[in-house]
Amino acid sequence: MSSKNDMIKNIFCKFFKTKNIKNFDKLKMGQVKGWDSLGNLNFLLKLEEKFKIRFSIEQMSELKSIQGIKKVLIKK
Amino acid sequence: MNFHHIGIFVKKISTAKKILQNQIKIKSHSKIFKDKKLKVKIMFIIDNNKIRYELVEPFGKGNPVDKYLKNKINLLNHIAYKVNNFDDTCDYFRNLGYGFLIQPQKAVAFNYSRVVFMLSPLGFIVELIEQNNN
Repeated sequence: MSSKNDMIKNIFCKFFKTKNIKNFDKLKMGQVKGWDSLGNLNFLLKLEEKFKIRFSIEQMSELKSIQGIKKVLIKK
Repeated sequence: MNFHHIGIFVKKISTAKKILQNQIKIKSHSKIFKDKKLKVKIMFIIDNNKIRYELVEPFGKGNPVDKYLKNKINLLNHIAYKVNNFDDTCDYFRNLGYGFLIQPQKAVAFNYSRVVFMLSPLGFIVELIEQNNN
């Protein structure tokens, strides 16, 4: 579980070119530079590639927070 | 899938139409549709090659156009197709790895047929419009 969490954080930091994030689990779209709707979609596609999973169409348009993304990813 | 239009994001439809007139021969154009849900104003233009352009103007706060206008990116925004089996086509593209920017929504400019916007793995946006056979 924690390795999955670490992996999400690493992918996020690399994708949005950011480090030293505080309260990572509470982050929502719009709170990091580049994390707009298109950035969010590209991030989800990156997660799909890394975790070899597919989000549903509904999930793609609804997942806009780390908490939400983790909830779905940990279930998969 | 049948090609329907090329979508262009513009600040003001009337100004954009005037500018486009220098570039293409406009044969006809639609009225301006106001879509409160999608937060856009839309006009369709057809040129002498029968190519349809969709001019998309921001309409209200939180619209999908402003950020592109501000950053001057992706203004030649999307290619749109009409499809018969809308839900199956959405699933088909999702399985191929296309990302979905929004869930399917009814659009005023298409007589409330559903539309959806996807990001192609090639990095450009594709719109699917549900073919209304009624």
